[in-house]
Amino acid sequence: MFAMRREVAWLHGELPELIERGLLTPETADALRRHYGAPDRSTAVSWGQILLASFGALLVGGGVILILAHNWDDLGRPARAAVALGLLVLAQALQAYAILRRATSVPWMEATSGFLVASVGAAIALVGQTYHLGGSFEGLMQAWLWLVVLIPYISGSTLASLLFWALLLLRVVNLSWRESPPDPWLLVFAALPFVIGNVRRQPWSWATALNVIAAAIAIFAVGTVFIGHDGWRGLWAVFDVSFLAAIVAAASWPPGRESAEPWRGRVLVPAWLALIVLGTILTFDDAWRTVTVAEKAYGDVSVMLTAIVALACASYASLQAIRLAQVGRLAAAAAAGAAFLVVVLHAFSMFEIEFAGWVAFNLWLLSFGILTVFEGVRAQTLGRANLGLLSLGALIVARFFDTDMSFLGRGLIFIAFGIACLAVNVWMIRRARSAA
Amino acid sequence: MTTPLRMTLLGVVSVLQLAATASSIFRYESTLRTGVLYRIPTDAIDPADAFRGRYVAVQPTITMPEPIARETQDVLDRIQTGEKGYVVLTADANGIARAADVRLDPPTQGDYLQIASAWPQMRENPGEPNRPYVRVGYNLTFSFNRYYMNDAMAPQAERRMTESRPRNGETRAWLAVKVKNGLGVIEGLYVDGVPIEKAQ
Repeated sequence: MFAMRREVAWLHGELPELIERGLLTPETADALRRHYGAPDRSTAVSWGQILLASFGALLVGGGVILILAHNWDDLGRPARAAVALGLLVLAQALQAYAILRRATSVPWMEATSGFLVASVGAAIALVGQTYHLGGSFEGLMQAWLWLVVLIPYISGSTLASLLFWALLLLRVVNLSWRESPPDPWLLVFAALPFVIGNVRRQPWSWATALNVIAAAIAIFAVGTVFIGHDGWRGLWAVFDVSFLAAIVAAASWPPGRESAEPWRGRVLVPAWLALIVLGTILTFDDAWRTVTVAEKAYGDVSVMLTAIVALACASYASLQAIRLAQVGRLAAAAAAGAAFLVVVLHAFSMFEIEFAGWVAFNLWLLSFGILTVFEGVRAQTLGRANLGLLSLGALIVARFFDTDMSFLGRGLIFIAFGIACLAVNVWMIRRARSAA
Repeated sequence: MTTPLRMTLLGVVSVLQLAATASSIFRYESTLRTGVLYRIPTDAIDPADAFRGRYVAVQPTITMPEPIARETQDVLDRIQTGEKGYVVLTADANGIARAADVRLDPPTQGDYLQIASAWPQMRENPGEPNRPYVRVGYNLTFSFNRYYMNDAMAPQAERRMTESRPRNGETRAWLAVKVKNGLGVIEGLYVDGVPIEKAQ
């Protein structure tokens, strides 16, 4: 019913006029009111409360970390140990209280969960400071992430989940090129079911959309950072394209849910744009020349996990591409199908058939752009049509830098393409006005 | 998820969180209380960590001077290429730590530390144009490389350490490190025998 809060409120507002016009009898209107229940007036207040509680918990947690980071000389080791453990016990007690007494209060659950995540970090940091523990930022983040990964499952907290993904992102972007720990993938496997559960249970929720975006960014970073460190050159393309294609496939299936389930639109457009950028990079022959797998890559757990995740994403995206094509969603099918293409072409490049890769991705970007423009025009969706034009524009710009065409030829094609973009936009705006 | 299940899971997670924190405290506290004290010469600079505060980044180093036995040399070469290695500790008359042995497995007896990195220490060799540098030993470094200090005191501490170091000379700063069962915990940072906190 949460999905229909706005609609129920709208319906309640419309009923008096419908009765007045004689379109509904008062009895039917009452029956509708009983069926849908009273509109939820608490939504706006809850939003404010949730945001205030979440920011409050984050600020308190961050403040505690900063105050402890000052390093108080007057506090001896026993006092510091007491502060570290006491802070943790306080945060755990608050979380337990929220679960037992305030389980229905989203602000309480969010604030206590966020505070618990911050307190675990503060406790680890204080122990490190007290005993002058060396080691890197990586060590602290690793311990922190493993100790908080289950908190979202316990409390159902969006804030705790967002903090987890943010910390994971912070960890992997700070890894040095020599570090290649396998556990970020294990952390992803441990945390992802919470996000998938949210998508299944509350697909309409803003919290689900935030969770999906945060998880997608962090997972993309995990895969991309690791494959930059290893002996498997070119795996970055397989992972990135397969992962983005899987996101497009998941957000596009089943068709028609985009408006009701905000997470779909929130991830679809960024994934679509990123796929255009990657597809453009893969239209260059340089991207396919360097595909090699060193012996050491086979013994690297993180590289192997990246390859397995990439293959899983590619399999899912390929199956969804077939289903999308069967219902006529050809642009989405082409986007999802990029995963199959990149896996096959990567295998070709390993056997030194490099030209197939850049030739196929030139054709893919061209057909993807045309299909997207076509679907955008047919559905009167300006944004979709512009995405298609962006694909075609990216392809043209890429080819300009990749060929030895004359300046005159390049200039004319740019102008022609620009006029085409403007013409399509003007035509669509006029059609939309005349339809209205 | 039902409330009893949530509470059970929270209990398990809470115990893990407390156990991780408490076991770290116990391990380091035990080493500080009953470990053997060594002094390890060090250099230092003053950076900051967003979560743990300002610290003096130290580089405690034990130098193994030449001549080095062939077997030891082989072990050092393997450590240099990334294999795990351990140094068995002994101390000179001033309590300064020295390397009694290096090995690829932890020893069953004696105090030891895991080596974070090993590299050859070179010196100019002016009389030999064909061999301008000559190896004079190996430097061994360790994972404890931070000395956390009060926000205001750390920059002064670094300045004090820089002033105490004569140009091209030996550093007169050392770390007091307690060692037990292969674990080293920093007890204090000293400059010319004075704790850094008092050497302002």
